Amino acid sequence: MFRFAHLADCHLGAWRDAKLKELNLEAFNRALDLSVKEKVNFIIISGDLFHVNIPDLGLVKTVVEKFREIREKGIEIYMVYGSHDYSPNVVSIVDILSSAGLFKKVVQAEAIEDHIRLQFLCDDDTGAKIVGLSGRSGSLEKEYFEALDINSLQDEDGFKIFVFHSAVNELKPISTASMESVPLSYLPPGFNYYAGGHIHKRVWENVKGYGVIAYPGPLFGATFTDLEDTARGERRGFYVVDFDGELVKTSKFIEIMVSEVIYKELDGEGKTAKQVEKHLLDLTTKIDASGNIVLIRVRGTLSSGRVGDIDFTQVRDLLVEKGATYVFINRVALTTEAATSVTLPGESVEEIERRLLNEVVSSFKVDSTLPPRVQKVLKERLTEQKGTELARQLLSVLKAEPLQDEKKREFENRVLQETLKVLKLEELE
Amino acid sequence: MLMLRLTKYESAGRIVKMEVVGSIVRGKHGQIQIRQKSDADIELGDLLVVDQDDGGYSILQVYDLGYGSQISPKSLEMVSGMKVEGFAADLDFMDPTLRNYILAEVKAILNVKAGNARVPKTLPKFMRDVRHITESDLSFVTKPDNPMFLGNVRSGSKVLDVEAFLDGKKVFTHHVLIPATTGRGKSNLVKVMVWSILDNFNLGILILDPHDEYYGRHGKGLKDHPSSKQNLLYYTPKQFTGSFTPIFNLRLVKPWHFRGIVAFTDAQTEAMTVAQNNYHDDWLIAIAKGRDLPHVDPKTLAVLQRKIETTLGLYVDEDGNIQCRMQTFSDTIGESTLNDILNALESGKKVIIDTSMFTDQVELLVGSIVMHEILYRYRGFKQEGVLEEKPVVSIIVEEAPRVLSAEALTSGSNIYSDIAREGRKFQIGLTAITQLTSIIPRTVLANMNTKVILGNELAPEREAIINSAAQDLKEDDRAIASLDVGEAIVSSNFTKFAVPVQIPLFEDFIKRFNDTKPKVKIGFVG
Repeated sequence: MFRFAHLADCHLGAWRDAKLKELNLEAFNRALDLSVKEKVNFIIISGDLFHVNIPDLGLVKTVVEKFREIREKGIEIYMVYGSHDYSPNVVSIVDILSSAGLFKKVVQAEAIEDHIRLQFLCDDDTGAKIVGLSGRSGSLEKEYFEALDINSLQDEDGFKIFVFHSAVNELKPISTASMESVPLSYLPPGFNYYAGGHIHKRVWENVKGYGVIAYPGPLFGATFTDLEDTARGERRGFYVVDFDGELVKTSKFIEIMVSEVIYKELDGEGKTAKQVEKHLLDLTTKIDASGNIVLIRVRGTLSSGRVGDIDFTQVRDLLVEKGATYVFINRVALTTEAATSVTLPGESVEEIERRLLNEVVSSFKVDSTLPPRVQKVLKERLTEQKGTELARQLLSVLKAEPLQDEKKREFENRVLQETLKVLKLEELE
Repeated sequence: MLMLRLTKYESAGRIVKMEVVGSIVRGKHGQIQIRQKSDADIELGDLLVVDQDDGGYSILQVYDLGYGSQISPKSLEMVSGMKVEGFAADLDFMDPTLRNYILAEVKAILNVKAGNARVPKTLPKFMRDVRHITESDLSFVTKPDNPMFLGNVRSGSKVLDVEAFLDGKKVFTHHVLIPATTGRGKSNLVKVMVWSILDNFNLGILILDPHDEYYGRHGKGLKDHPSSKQNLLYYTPKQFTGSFTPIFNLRLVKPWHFRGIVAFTDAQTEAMTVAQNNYHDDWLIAIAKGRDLPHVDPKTLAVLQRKIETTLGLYVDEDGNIQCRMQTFSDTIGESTLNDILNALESGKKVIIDTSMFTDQVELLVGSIVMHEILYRYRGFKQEGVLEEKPVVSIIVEEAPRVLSAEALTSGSNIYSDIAREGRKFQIGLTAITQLTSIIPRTVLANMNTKVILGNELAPEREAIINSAAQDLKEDDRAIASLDVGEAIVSSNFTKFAVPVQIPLFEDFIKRFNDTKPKVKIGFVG
């Protein structure tokens, strides 16, 4: 009998707050230590090891040391890119670590005209055959799934694992309904185990015609929404799967709980700013904050006063005094009557950006008086998911700041080149 | 000896000469008789034109043909007898073309002057020459907004180079009926219609496809449209790369989705309400697993459980998990399916659900789930005042009497009849395909404001169609009976007259959109 661990969505470096950053890293270290303790033959990480493609180098150093420790124990690590740690323009840290032999990227692809043939990697220890497709931002990996040479994958015999970083429509939970996803039919049938990443909820489903399709979800979480889900009972951790070389035999979910998360909601609808403040202060007395992450979401429309009149700092300080590891009061959904139109669900900056860009892109209409060929190109590039992705990439490039000692002209030229590259207009240079 | 007689009319500033095919000889409004010129060829359904002195013209349509003769019936019979009995094989009348002829019964359908077409209120001039219609006579036919292609305008069996479009947004909002018997080209018509609007984001269309024939899994179909990748979603339980699996989480199914689709007794309906009150979204799971329902007779619960299990194909396996024989319902996955379909429709996309593996009830239930929820969303949009920004959504249902017949409605309304009755207030339409129009109540038929009438040999069906048409078609019974495969008459509140069309064969139609791209080597990173 053989055994492997399946992790995903570690999102190392996701948090700005030092404590949350530390907890996230602790969850990662603990997952790898537990994998060793469980005597796994190999470890699969289904993308988004890091939260960005070039993370803080101090963090990278820690991860490298941990991976080296695992590798020295003879445990192989297999990985695909996720939507966060991949970049189409620059080398990702994942590439560097892979080149250094710390883990193996399982995406060995050969593009043959209009289709893609994937090559299996065989795990020396167990004979398991592993292959995968990386995730790309905005689910742009869809076109790779469409072009997959399914037959060559189906014809391979043995115990087969498909590693991927994409949400699957039929499997994604309702809370992630708006997430870009690929249909189940894009997955090559006939694998024994589909090691998924990207969905931040635990999914384990034995699907007819396929096999086990599993998403372990994040080890800690990368957004406040993730932490809220944790507080609501979503278990965080990873799967350990036993197989006999032919079939998945047993599995278990190993829970990682580095800190308890307490989540409270306060309905401020129709209350004055002072009343909300009082309710918040009352709430602090009832929360067992010691050693825990405390999340409070305040929503509703105030009857009088402004959101700024509420002394959130005092509430936060009180909870910290009571020993809270971290306090976050989400008040995005709290408005005054005068500003009810400015309501956004409390999500990460990236999620809000994407949502807003989606809205703008969806309202974009191609001028029907333009020549059909131009209309077609514009529709292909500026509408729907591709349009949103282009806008997001543009935004990312235009947010760049000058590097140290970089002259203004050099900076402008760099941004221009990056912009042209994103717009695929390099020939206009 | 035959003489070629020409009539003159003006087209685009030019005087055009056309062959005369007959002359108006008698009749009254709506029942005009034309004596056919002996060498002319007038068919049932032909569109003819009478030019007027003021530069305008009347368009007439032939609805019946008969013989006329100046000779008494006795004499005709005598001459005929002598010829067939071999007494005088070359015997004939003097000036036979003058004495024997064909009479065409026609009705005036439009008066056109300076590009404006109006319903005729006057008769064309007596004894006036009549000619065949030409493309330029229909220059007032323009392409509407949201054009949905139905075919080329047809005069009898002659296809004109004039394309017939309807405004899809208006037409779908006000419901469509496609009545025809088997083999007359219903699915070909639907494919042509949907193809022509596939990249129109003002029209969201849900097709329940009981024969899995629209997508084109095995041949040409909507999948071959250049925009299908972006604008067409195909749900099928069969493995097909790029398709979605129509699997619905049981928690998304509500008691009201069953209304008028599955017959429950009052006691069973109450039990369903109790289940929902106690188990909320898990109400169906609770019933399927036979959990206790307070104040519900155990016998009622047992019958209800069996009925739910039979209808949805559910059973509880040895591990206590719910399974579905058809794989259409699940208590673990399929949470986003409904949302994905609703979002697609709300974005003006087209969604095909292959229901060929479903039972009738499950097919209608799936449609009911989607349409209940889309109606719910659209009511919300109306309240918010943003409804007009949203695309029209229409559901295409085959064998519509399953939900629209008087019998189906005896136990109460269902979502399909609700949409037929009040859907247009919320920009939601129904496109009903049927072989049996006569069993659909007139109150429902009256709401179907566009009818694409294909051939139908059954007189009671034609009668039901004619009685509910947007235009007066009482003289068109024969024309409808004689419609060949692919021929149709479009009667709509949004056309100036009942337009005869020739629907192209889908495979030929799509050739003009041939968008074969050269194989491009895919660039791969990752």
